[in-house]
Amino acid sequence: MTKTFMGYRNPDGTVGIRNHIVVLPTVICANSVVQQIEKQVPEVIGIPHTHGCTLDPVSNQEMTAVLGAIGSNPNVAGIILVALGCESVLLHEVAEIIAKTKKPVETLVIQELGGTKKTIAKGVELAKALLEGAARREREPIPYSELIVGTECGGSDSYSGLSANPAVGVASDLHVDQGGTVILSEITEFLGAEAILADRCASPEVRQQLLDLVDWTEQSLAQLGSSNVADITPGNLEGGLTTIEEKSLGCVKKGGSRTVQEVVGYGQKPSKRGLIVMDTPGHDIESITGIAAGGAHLIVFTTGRGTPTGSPVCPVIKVSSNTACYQNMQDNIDLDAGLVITKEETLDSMGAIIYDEIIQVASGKQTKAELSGNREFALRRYGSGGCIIY
Amino acid sequence: MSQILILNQNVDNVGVALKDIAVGDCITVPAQESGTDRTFEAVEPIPAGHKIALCTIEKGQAVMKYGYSIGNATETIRQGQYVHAHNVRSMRGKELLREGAQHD
Repeated sequence: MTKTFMGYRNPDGTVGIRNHIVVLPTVICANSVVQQIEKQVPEVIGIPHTHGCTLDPVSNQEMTAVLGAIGSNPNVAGIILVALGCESVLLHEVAEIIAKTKKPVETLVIQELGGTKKTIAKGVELAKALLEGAARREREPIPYSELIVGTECGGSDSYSGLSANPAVGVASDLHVDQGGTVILSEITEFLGAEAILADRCASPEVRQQLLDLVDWTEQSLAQLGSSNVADITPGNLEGGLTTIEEKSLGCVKKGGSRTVQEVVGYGQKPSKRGLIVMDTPGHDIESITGIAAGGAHLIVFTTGRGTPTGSPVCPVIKVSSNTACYQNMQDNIDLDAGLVITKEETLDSMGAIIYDEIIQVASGKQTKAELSGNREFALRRYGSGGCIIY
Repeated sequence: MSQILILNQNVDNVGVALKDIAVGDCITVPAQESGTDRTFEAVEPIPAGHKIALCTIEKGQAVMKYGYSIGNATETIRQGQYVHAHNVRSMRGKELLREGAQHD
């Protein structure tokens, strides 16, 4: 019998696990309007950010695509885009991307409406109308296979590769075996472990794409210069991780053991089901923003040092690698994989617990990050010569 | 709870301390198949989660964990010593720019 969770069927046939009305600026200059609309209509999700205007065509194209993709995320039931009017990211381009999903898209331009006060007033009106429309929607049974699960690690320590990451790998395998999709990301954390993934790619083409991506990432990282700053964080070092290779060998365990079906770019939607690799940087927020833009429904996020990070449209489930972390930051951590270290759970039983949580969250259970209002959002950064800043 | 965890029993030359290890603590490495248990003493304190050398690792030799190299020893490391950033060098990422650095 097909296993189902309770989700929303969207007009374009995709499914959502949330029913959000989002207010998204196309540029930092429109942030104050977004924040005021959210203040007056607290049920909406405002996503202020620092992007939207640049003379660099490469990052301009990516900003446009990723802002459009975030609006297109299946958890977004309707959206209000707020533009200033002169920015390099063009409002109509972002709106057109989102309109393809057939969800309601409203647009406001501060310079056309005559300033922030009038734009806020119009925005509040639109927000209330969109919320009314969303409130009429109901959840229905949706097969597990339609769920797209992102994975992420942040604030990793030595235990991450021993408990939380392999347990997420068990859950990943369970989900892929159901016909579902899992996104593995953070290519900086493939360095030293890429052979493991290269050995299980769906085709020689996918294998080459993966290795080329790792190579490009490593060259970019090398260009960042001085090796006085390690390729891992101070917290990683304190947590017992010595090198990027060691961190990577632990990180790739989140991808379980199934075949890599496809390699996609930052914020791009997978065209296949199963285990997918997405090009994202190791920076937690930039990575999960890319994963959410790629259409993930939720993200399972392992941590050793502890982090409250969430995402505006995509629920984040936090899994600690050790019990001290879980007990220290209970407001921010959902599950404790430290139980594997103390042998109260096995990797298999912990993986099953994680998968069960994924299904509950898909059906509406709020994560700690949602309850605490953590909605971190940032696009990846470009340096000189088109190099990504990791 | 055992003191250390070895990810790949056949290949690894480091183990992860599951609790703080003090100088003089006796560490037991369970035997592989028909061999005997190895025991040795910690010669340095090892914080929980950090690594201890299971045998001598020569300068320039790969430090092995999970069955793969996690970098090279920058000095000869004795069995029972603390293995971390002070005596291990990454061979990837920004290390590509250092003279003499190369990887497969």
